[in-house]
Amino acid sequence: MREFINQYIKLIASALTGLIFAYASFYLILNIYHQQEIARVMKVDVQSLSSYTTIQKNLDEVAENIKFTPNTYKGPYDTTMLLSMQGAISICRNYIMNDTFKDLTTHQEIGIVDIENFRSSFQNDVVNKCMIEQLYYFTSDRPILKEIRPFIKSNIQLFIDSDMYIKRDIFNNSSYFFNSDHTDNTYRSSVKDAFAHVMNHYKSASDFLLEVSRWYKDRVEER
Amino acid sequence: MKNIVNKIFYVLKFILLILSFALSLLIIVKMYERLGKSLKESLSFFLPFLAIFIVFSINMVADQKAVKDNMFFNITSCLVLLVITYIGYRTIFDKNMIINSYMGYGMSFNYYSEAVPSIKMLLYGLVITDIFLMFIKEEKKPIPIKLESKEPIIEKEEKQETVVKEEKELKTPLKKKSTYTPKPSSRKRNEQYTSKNKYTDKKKR
Repeated sequence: MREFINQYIKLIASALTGLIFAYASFYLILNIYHQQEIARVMKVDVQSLSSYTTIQKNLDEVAENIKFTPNTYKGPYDTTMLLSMQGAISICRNYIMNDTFKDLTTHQEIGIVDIENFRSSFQNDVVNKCMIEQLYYFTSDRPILKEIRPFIKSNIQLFIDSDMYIKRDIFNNSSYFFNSDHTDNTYRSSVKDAFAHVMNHYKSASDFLLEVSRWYKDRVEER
Repeated sequence: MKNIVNKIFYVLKFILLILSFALSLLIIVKMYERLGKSLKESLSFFLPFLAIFIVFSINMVADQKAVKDNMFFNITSCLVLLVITYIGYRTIFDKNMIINSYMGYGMSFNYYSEAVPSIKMLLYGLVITDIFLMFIKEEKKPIPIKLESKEPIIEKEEKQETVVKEEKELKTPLKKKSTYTPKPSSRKRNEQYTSKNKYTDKKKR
């Protein structure tokens, strides 16, 4: 009887040890896989992308549109107001082509940390410093701003809410997901998707600023 | 070789236990500091570590060979503690988990809190297995009997023949055997007497 109990206990202990070994091995391999997954980098030449060339083109056109010399102005509007509008658009243009964006164009490989810096620069520089601090001036109750006011208000609200999805996706990368090379190449890659989204937001911001600059040019040329 | 490997894993088990406990303590203290909670509420997390410490120290003090000599258990313990150490390492040092650097935390609390149930389960599993192993009684190995002489087969056959011969001799009436055996030196002297050269013989005497 004693021997039987002894053997039985040995069996249970061996079975438990085997189960623990299996689960621990699985968990270790899962973690190693996850670490490799989030350390993936994307090879990209930012300067050759069409969205980057569009952004550059838009910002060059903005620089042309906001050329204003108060000495030669003979229009109906107040020159001080036009000068402050010019300053706001010019500052906004510099915030869109910020240091983080310029730094990213020199990278040949982009990882998730670079994407997060890119996204946070969009949030801080483009949305907060450019649109809320500078362009919100255009929503004040002045007769000259009657046409542009609803356009600027609605777009600024869109830009504030635009990066919520990306931020949530990037911050949740500490949770596991089983991704394979096939899914990575076909429909889901966190690095590629996040980069494409943020780049798109920058392009939308440059398009928006271009429209504001064209409105400004029309006001300046108005007689 | 097996004993050496077993001892290595046995010692490594204790080193990894201390390392994993230290990392877990650091992470939990930082986590509860951020949440504004007192460490008393983290007792449920440290209970399995305490149980493992008690059980391993009993193994060491009582010199339980069922646990000490069980290589599979030692390897499994090392693997479990390695997993916990690796999770702690990633929580602090893996910067690709963006929440690590969010708001200057320096730790991926989200990732570690997801790993806590698995850590508890693995540690409690080890404790239960260790307790089961403690109840195993060591079987007494029989002491091997050493034979004094191992005689080859040929000698045995000779012995058997001599035994048979002796038996035959015993059946016949006993005859006195001459016990005299000539000495080898006396034989040589006899040979010398039989030689032809008398002069040399005399000299040799």
